[in-house]
Amino acid sequence: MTRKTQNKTSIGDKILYKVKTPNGWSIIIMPDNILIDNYHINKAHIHPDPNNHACRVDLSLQDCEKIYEIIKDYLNVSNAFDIEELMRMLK
Amino acid sequence: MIITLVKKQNGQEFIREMEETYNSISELEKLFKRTNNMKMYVDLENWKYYKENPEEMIETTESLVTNKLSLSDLDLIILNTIKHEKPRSIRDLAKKINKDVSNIQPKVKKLEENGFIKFEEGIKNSKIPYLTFDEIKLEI
Repeated sequence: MTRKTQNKTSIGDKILYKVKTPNGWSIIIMPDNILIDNYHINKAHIHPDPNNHACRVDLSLQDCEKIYEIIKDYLNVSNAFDIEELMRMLK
Repeated sequence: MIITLVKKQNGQEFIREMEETYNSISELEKLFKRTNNMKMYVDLENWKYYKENPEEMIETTESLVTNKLSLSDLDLIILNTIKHEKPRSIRDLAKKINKDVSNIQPKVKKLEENGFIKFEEGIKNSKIPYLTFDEIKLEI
């Protein structure tokens, strides 16, 4: 039985990683180094500051696939990556 | 268009890939502390998980959102031949599909650049092509 999936999607100059395990899931936006996950507290949250992993903002959306699709669509249509704008879409 | 390459592997294979990339868990921990790279953070969490669950299966997919990439009939024949007939070199591949090696070489190079195939060293400096995935999915 496959219990874990890993997905790497290249969109322009960004790479989006999605990793799901029985323990939780994570989405990473590179090279911006942004992590969205539900590890440890079992609630979806974003780490908007790559230099401060302790900084965490809770999200109202909880579904990994839904969050992943929103980020994918955002990266597809936006010319510049704006973390504040993305957070507004996910909150 | 979204092209997705699908690969199935178990935890042990994942650990081997991690070892090739980072050497050891402690090396990765040091590297993460130094760089704060979130990809490394997730690799670290997963490595620890698979150390405990080496037999668990993983489905790894790699997707490329692009309108530039196209796969010709010949590209698909090449991929199919590599998968089912396991050629021992590019010359052997050309022979199996009755094409001149000079016509096949640029095609094979493009497939390698796009991540569809890789090479391992064969005898007498030959390169053995192999597929890096089990399935290709196309979405429009």
